[in-house]
Amino acid sequence: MTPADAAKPKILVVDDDHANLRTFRIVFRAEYDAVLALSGDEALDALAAGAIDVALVDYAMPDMNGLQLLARIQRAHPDVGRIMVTGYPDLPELSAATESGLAAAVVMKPWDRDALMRTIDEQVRLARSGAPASGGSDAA
Amino acid sequence: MSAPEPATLDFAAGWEASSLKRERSEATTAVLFTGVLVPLWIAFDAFLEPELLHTFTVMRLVATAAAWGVLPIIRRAGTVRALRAWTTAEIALSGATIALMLPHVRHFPAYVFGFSLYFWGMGAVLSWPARWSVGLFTWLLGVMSAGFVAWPGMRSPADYVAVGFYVGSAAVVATIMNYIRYRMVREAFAVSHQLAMRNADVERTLEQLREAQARLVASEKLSALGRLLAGLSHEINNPLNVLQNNLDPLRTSLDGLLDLARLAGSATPSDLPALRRRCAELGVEATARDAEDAAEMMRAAMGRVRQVHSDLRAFIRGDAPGMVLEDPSGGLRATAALLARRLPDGVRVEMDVGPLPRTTFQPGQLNQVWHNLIQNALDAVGHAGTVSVRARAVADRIEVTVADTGPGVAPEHQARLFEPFFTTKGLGKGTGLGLAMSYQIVERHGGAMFLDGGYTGGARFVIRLPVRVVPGAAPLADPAARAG
Repeated sequence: MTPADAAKPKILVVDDDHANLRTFRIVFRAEYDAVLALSGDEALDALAAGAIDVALVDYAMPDMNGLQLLARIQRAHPDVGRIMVTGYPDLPELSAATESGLAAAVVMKPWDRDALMRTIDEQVRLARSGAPASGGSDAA
Repeated sequence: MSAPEPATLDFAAGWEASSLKRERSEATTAVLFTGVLVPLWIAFDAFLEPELLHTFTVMRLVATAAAWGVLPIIRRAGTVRALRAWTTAEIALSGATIALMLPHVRHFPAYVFGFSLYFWGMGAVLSWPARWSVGLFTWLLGVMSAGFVAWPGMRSPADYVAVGFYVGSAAVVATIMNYIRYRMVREAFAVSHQLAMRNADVERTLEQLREAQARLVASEKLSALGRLLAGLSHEINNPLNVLQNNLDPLRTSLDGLLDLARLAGSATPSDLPALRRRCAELGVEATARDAEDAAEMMRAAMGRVRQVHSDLRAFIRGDAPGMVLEDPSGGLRATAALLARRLPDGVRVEMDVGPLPRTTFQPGQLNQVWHNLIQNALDAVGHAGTVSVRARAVADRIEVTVADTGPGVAPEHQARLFEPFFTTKGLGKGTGLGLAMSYQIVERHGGAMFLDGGYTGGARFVIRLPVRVVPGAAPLADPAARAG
């Protein structure tokens, strides 16, 4: 592993749609080390394996939806940055999630590469400084 | 009594219009009465009082002409006041011609009787305020008295007393009759006016209710559509994400590979090490894999968008108000396909919908019914269960059933299931109009809809539609053909 690789932020991407996961990996191949998970359970396993900076979680997933997963991440891994991604416009639950600090940001699909990168970088910076944007800061 | 103009709700204006109509016909009768009676009287005189004929004939011919002359005027009078004025003037004139004859006639009782007929006749025919009767009758009695004064000594005092008493009481009775009829007519008008007002109130309330109902129906359609579209926007935004975000990496990969290809095209054997170095930098294999990967994902994404679009089109194309003569299974399948996207893992939608006989129906409305029933079934099963949609032809009917493995409909709710505003979904989740509207739509199609009471595995709704051909219902153009 080169020093450059070690410095690359490790982003956990959770989406039940495989195409979205692959797209993320292709788009941010140079910038991030993407860990992909197709469900909430896979995501929790990956988090348990450790060293994740930021989790990028899709809202609409069968079984465990994005909000439920974020709540569990908040409890079990408060130092991991939490970003919600969704294809649903105007879902009241999502604005509530940002207000309560469950998600540091909500990103609409289709996302814009540069905007998403800014959001992720901000969360990486906060996670690495030991102070996630909001919500989980009590555990930091 | 004439009914008030229904459009006139202002009391005074309504009363004026109603009075004008009624009094015009009364005045016509009264004036005709004099116009016919006075010339008859001339003939009567020729027989009874030939020596007086010449003196009074001119006067009464003038009165007759006046009666017929006034007739067209009262037919056209624009206000009640003008009508009354002309009528009074005409009767006053013709009555005066008889009053002035009284002192001279030999057959006094017959003429007094004839004169009193004027009073009785006007009393029977007219209905107007007492002041007009008092005015008219006072004038006639005055003319009569003036005649007696102008030609004194023609009658015995007993005659004066008798005629005064007889004609005077006729005048009083006629005035009372006019007044009583006027009061009755006015009261009847007031009652009917009040009724008309109340009717207008009821009509307004009904209109407001109809508007409210239309708004509710529209809001139910909108909320169902909104829910569907929210789900679909997710279905579209995911492939859109893949399409949008793979475009730049694909382009970058292609640019890198094309640069390399151009270099290779003009390369000499000595350039080979440099080319190999560029290949290693680019990571040709990985780049090619990414490009293929991206292209493949974009193609799949396109397919998904196209499928959503085609289902949505089949679902909403029937929103035109017209009826079509078609196989209704297409709309049923498209609606189920729209709703069956991205279900929780434990939920399955089973479709057993074969070709059905062609029948006349309104596709937008039936799609609304299918949408409603299937969405309800999906709501009922929640995170795990099966929704079965079946359609088949039974004899001359089409039978569609939507069954779910949810908790079923509680017995106490079954009777109210199709009532408007009845919902068990909780505040903000359901308008309570879905099933009520579906029921109406099916009824309008000549069909029936009910909850299968014998089904115990959850809830099963049955819709039976008649196979019928209503003339004038043209088949819609094939949406695929129109898509171009």
